Amino acid sequence: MERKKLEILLLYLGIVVPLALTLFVVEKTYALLGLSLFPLTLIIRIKDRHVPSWLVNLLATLFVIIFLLSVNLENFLQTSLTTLLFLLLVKLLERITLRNLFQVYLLALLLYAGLTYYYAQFSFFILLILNLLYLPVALFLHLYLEEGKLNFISLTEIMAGSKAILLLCLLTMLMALPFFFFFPRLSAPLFQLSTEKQAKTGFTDTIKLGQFSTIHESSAKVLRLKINFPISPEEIYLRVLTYDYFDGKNWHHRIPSQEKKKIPPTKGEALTGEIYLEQPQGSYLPVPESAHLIMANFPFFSSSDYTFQTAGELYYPIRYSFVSKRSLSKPALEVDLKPYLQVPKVSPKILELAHSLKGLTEEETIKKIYQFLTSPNFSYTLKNLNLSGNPLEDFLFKSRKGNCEYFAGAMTLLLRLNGIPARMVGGYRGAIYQRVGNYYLVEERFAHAWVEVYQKGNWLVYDPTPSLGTLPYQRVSMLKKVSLYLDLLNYYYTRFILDYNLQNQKKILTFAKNIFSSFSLPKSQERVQISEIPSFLKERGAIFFFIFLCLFLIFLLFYLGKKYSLPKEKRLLKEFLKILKSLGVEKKDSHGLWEVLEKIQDPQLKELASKFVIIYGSCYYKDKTLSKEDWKTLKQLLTELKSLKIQKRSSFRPTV
Amino acid sequence: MNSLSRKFNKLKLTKAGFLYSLLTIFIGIAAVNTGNNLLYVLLSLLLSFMWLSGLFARINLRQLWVEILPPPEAFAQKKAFALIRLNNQKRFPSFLIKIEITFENYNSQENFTVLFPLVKDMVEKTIEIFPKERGKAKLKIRSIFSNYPLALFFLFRKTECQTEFTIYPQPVAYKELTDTRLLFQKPGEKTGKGIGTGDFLGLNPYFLGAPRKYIHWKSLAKRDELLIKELADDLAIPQLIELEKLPGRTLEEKLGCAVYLILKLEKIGLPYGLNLFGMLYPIGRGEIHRQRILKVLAYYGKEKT
Repeated sequence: MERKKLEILLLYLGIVVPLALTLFVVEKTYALLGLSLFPLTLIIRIKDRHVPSWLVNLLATLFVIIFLLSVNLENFLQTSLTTLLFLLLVKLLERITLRNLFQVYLLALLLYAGLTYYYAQFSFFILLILNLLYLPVALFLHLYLEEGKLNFISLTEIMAGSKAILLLCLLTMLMALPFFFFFPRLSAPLFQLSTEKQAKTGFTDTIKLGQFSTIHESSAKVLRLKINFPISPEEIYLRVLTYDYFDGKNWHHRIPSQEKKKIPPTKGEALTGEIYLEQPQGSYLPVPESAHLIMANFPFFSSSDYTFQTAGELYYPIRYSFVSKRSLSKPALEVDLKPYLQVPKVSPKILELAHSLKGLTEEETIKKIYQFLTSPNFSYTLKNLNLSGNPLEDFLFKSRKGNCEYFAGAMTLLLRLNGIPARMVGGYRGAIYQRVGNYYLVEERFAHAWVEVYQKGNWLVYDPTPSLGTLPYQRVSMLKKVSLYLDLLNYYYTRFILDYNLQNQKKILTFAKNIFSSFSLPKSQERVQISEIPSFLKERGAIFFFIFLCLFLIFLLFYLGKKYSLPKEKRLLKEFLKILKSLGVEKKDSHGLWEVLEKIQDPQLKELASKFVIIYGSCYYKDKTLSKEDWKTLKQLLTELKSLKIQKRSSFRPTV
Repeated sequence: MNSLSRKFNKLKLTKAGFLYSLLTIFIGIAAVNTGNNLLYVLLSLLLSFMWLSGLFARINLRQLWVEILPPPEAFAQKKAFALIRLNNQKRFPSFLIKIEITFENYNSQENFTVLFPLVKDMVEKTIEIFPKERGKAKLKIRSIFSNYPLALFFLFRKTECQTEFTIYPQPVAYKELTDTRLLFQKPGEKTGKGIGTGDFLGLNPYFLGAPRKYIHWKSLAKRDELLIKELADDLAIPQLIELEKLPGRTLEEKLGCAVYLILKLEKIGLPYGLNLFGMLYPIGRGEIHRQRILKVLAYYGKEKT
């Protein structure tokens, strides 16, 4: 392959991913500028032109000066990435030399380091690993071309070089594991960097009627729920936020979230679990419906409406654990319930319907409204939803078809018109159970809305949306099953790589310490020590097993590498000489094989050794490869020599 | 042939390696400070790559045999070619092996660096040397090193491989050499008597200094080809090269003339001896004889060791 073409191909393949990912992170103006400069560099490369080094250095110095003048702790990451992006683009304009290529790849690595703050997804991790596998191969080939002053390189050379470097990279991955797990970690950062606000997905403070019909098409992953109690997927209700204000078309969250120090626990059995939130839900943290407590290593606060919010910008995914109760009612913490009785100006028709559903007691009214909406007259649909005019009136009197926002919205409105405080809750219902990982996967299409009704000092949950027929989490196609297994990797990545912290490290070290100290303890105490394995390690047994397996594999690789690094002919000769040595005939470095034969006194041994040397020598000294038959004969001779060795040794054994 | 010592004597960090170390430190600080596990991943990979690349660099230089084959014949002030043979006895190929060779010839010294980009089993490369003086010469492998895998460092390996050989005086052809009768002396006979009276054996290409009576005029006339006759008595007549009588003002020129004649005589198969200012070297023929005489001339007036 021609050098120039290969160099361009290697270079651009190596930098395109970090460059593209950076363009999504930096400001739009810079991203557009970068995007237009990139093809220009490629054209210059193809046409074999280049910008003089002094100009490139001048521009680079200018970028660094601008960076130094504009950087502060608030914009450090983004400014750094923008500077690195332009430094990289400018470097691409320079002549291709080994020095410049090193600098370009170094900048690409630095870009990756910066990007780790913006992208933490599994897909990014895979891209990072693939790129890190690729970069050494590309660099080696550049080096090979440069050092050898080659204008062409054969496929054999590319393959031979790439194979060796890939092996090096794969071993690097294995060796990196102990470094990763045992490298020191701090409990808090020395100085805090902040990033620009990330694009918000999921729930916002306003919900439009019919909005969920588009979300229901999305299979984007929202969170993974790990709970240590059995629950069927359709029973899972994850609360995100509440909507208290209705303007006739849209529901809004208007009551300011007031920070409450602690939400009192509700009655019932305490259930615990963990949530790995993949996508930000505004600042809200989804929790199971009756969760009253969460634990996290980032700042957050809880509100009186049983929702939880983060207190600052976070890098996603994040993990937090929760304590919940198996109960659908929770004590009302609000002092003022007036906002939950707010109604917009409604048509007389709706007002009439509300009054017709009024019962003698509040319970009866609630029951009547619930039964009205869950009657067979109403059905669930995501298609042809009326979003204009008066959608709720259309839903109640004309189409009688809608999705969860229509049902929940209608119930809340009818309750409020009857003087019963109510609010709409936005969140997720249902999940896909990943059997192997023992967790629940919640996707965007499980977005749901339901109602909370105030009754005798408690908020009670009602879900008026009729059964969806085949629930989305029940439709698990073959492709989905495969993607679920891929998600398992993603889950483990989040759990064991992204979520690995000082606490986990301490637990491992304490466990290791206990194991070592147990060796010196009496047997009875030892049993106690081993049985006290922290739950964290029990859960991560698979990972520990994997580490041991890796270490064993490394050892095996070195052993086999040492053993098989010699050609097979040499190995055969080595084995032959080893047997001879054990029988008292040693070959000196200056001696040839025939001279060794002369030293042998034993006729039987001499005969076998001569046969071996004749066949071996006829090929080896004539620079021929051993034929299959020769190989077989030589192997047979070695076996005979070995048996002779055993025979000789046993004959020397003194008789008792 | 010399195998490389098992000891590695030097590891020299390159600028790229220095930058790599700086980058690792920088990412390490960033990872520890922020607790970003992806940075920890990056850091772990950089550290383990650094460690393993050292190991791979060592393996790359292991089980290599290097051999220097000096030029079969080298003359002062004339180009010669030496052969460097590298034999890889590993199962895995070696890459970017560089061999630093020094050519020593009394006061002059020349350094070469030979690169072997890919060594699967055996590779050879030639180097061009230019000896300045006759006498002793030495080709010495100073070091074997490589910047494999990514030029982050150079790893050097000890070696004690060297080979010594002789540089013969530069052959010098003079016009006077056309009349060899003046230069050759048959022991016990006067110069020129009885030459060319033996039976005709065949024809040989003309060489400078061949007596005119040996020229085969017929072939010159017919085919315009200058040949000389080979006569039976010539082979039996020993020729003694007398250095004193050879043309040339200086000793070096005289030695050059002698070398020139020896080469020519050897070519046509005439036996010869040498009278080196009274020191007689017996008459003979053949490769060993020629080398012995040439060596005598090469080391005349010089220290042999």
